[in-house]
Amino acid sequence: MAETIAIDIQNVSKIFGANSEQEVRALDDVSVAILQNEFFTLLGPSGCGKTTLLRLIAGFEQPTKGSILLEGAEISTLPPFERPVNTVFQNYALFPHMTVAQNIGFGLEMQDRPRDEVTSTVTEMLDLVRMSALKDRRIDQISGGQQQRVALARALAPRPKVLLLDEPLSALDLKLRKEMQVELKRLQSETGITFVFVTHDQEEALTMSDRVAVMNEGKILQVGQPHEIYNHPSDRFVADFIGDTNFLSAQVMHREESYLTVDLGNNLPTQISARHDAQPGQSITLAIRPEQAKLGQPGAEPTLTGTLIDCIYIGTDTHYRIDIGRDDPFVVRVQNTAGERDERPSGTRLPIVIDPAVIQVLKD
Amino acid sequence: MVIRRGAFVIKRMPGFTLVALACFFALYMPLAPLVVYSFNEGNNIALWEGISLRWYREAWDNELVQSAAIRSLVVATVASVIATVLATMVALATTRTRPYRGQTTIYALVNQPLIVPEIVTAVALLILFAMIKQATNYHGYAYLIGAHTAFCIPFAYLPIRARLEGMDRVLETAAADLYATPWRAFKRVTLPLLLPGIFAGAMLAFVISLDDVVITEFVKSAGQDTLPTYMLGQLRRTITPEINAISTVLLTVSVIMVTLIFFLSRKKAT
Amino acid sequence: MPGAAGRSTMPSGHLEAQAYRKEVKRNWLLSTPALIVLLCAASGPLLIMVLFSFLTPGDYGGVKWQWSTEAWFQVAFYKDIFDDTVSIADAHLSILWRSVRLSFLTTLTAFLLGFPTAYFIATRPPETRNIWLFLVTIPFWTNLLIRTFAILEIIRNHGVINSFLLGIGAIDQPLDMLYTDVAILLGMTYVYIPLMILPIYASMERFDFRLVEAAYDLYASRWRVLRKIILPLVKPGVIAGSILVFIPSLGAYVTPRVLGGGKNLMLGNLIELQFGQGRNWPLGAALSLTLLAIVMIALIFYVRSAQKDGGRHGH
Repeated sequence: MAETIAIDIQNVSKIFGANSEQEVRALDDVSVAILQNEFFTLLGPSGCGKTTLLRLIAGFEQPTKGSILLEGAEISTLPPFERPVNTVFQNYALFPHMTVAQNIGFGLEMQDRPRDEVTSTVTEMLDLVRMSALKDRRIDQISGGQQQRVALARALAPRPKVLLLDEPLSALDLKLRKEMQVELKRLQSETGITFVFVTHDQEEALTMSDRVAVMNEGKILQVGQPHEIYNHPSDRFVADFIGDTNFLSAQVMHREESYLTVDLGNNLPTQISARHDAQPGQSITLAIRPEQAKLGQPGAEPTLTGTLIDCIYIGTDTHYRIDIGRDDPFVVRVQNTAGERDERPSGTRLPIVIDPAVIQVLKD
Repeated sequence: MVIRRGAFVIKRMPGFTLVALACFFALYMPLAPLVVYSFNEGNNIALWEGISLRWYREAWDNELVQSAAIRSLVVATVASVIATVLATMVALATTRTRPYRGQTTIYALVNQPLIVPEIVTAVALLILFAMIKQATNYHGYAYLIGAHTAFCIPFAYLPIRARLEGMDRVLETAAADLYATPWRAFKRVTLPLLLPGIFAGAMLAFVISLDDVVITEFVKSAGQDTLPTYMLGQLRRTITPEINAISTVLLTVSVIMVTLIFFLSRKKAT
Repeated sequence: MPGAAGRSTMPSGHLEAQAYRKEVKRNWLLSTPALIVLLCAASGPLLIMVLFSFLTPGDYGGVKWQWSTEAWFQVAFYKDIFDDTVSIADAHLSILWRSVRLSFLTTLTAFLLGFPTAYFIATRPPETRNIWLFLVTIPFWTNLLIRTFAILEIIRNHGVINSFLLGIGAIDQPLDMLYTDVAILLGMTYVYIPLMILPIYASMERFDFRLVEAAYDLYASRWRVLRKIILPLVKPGVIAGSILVFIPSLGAYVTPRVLGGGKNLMLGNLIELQFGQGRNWPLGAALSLTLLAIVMIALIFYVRSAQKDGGRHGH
């Protein structure tokens, strides 16, 4: 059953300074379909193009190539004031010469709604973000967190089809951030408006989103639900950017239709379920999450063995950094259920057990 | 008992403070007799005959002074208003915009009156207007107002541009995002925030126009004296304290306006 | 100067090009009214003046529409009407020389007085600095004529100085200070000195006084510090101030007229003469263009040295 597509990005490229020495490809042939009513996040490091893509959807810039469709209709030819899309800016961009209520009502006024409709919608919005008491304050008289909520209300008031949020929580302190994350999620499901959220914080992305698009250097690397992205990263960058990862290079020993047999460096064959076209003898990269590897019990057959470098105690978990004879240590994360610190000294030989099912083969 | 030697102050340069204070004194000192003697009952600067407002009254009653003053005010008002409107438009066209061909030319043309010596402009205008006068027989105020508007434009432009540059474009972007057409975004967002700069520019243009001597002297037709050209004419004949009186009034106006401009420019653009 | 954005935004895509074209069109539309006024009443007339410099003077002022290079010839040379001998136009050249000389002296005097003043302001505590600046700015915005008149009142025969000296019996006859080159120099210095102080102050404000500390630490004397550390680093301000004083001085008209009388003419007065008694409009135009040329040369010199310094000191 096909969900309705809210925004369809089709082969969009954005090149700054084309044909000059300083050509910058902010977006390189990007395509993605954002569904109606979903909380969709664009995630990536600074400079990856996520904000550029957002600005293209909003209409502040035009694509060099490609099209952008809103509910099936091409909007890249429309100026921003003709698109039923609103933005929450990173620094809020609240109008300093207007009060809170005037800011919120601005979009409605520009749509020439009747005066009483404006007033009632503004009141509704003030309630929604719990700023009713401050409605006549000037912008420089309210705190950062309050400004953020006003920016949100201002963008939601005209009931846009899509709400764009450009790293709106980055200026807030941690506690407030967490609160706002919950708020935003609640607002999205209550209003049913499609949210397109931009952030560089992968934890934020995983917490809030229905689906995430991981971007780097102007390209979209992977799109999927948070658990998909986390458990099955498609390439090295995604695996590295999201959470912690152990990277292992392994030699292909044998290849079948739906699985590979690889040598993890100890000459023992391990079977992994993966479709990959690497040939026997070739080297591929594997990704294993630290919390999905386990320390072996005596007697069990270990997948890898190494010597302990150190244990890092983090309250809820202990990280074991183990030297397995490669450049980087292999990290195993174990939850501290026992309550006691592990006192094993460095140099202890430790077996590592990895369930082949959790091993990811990465695209090169 | 501790003997203190004069401390070595890093920033002190011998004699500089003295010269500086003398300079400040010298800047204001000549204005003092000018102002003081405008209140002299008598005619002679050497003879103080008591305080009186005689010369102010005489200036006030002098028809030539009256018409010159009105002319100055009218020309200054009209020229500064037009210049400010035009300068605002050019400022919007040359600031916070993507670079385009011809932008530097526009900038150069706008600032040209600041570079070319006044007498050169005055002569050029004299020649041009003489030609037009011959052809059309028009001797009205358009010449004066046109000339003043032209040299007022760069003076209005600079503060407006400065203020505009300090304004983040994201505000207009936000307005557009919220369905405001470019004109409405300008009216509701840009203009209110630009207002202090516009006022500063308008007042600067007003003061400059009011004070202008050279261009007005060359461009005016007979009987079209402004206050400064009237005074210039008087300086060639007999000098009475009437000039002191008029000067004092003009000084006061200038000081008030400059003070206002000074305070307006200090308000920061959010 | 309008600067480019951080990255070049010359568009390549169709939509981008369209948006850019719209923006440029809007900019030109907005600029047009101002440009029209300026072209008609500021820049355009200069071209007409060039035209006029190649015409023949009319009998009662104005021009006869007859091509002639006579005016340009008369700028520097004089042809005796009786025996056709060509000689240098001494009167013109002496006036030109006086203008250059007085402008230079004004600039020098303004510098000698203005530099310590700018230094003084820059070394005040930040709170009071603005007040001092304000005090410098006020005279700058008052009427040029009034300020010249103030000087007149002081130095003329019935003026402040003479009245005072006569009054205390120091002299019998009033001193003749008016209508001399010195009077003009005094007037122009008084009028233009704020234009020297403000740019030097701007440079001085950005000067890092820790460099001075370092120099003293390394055994430099005060004079050396001034000459070798401070002056070179505030040079941009000094040059800007010098240009801002030199150029208006060259083209001064009001001050030499009021304080110099009819005898000590400067270029501005000579030019005006051609449109009054002299009845030689083409010559007046030619002289104006000569003045403009000198100003342009001075400006080019300024821009060159500003660019050089900008590169060197990383302004």
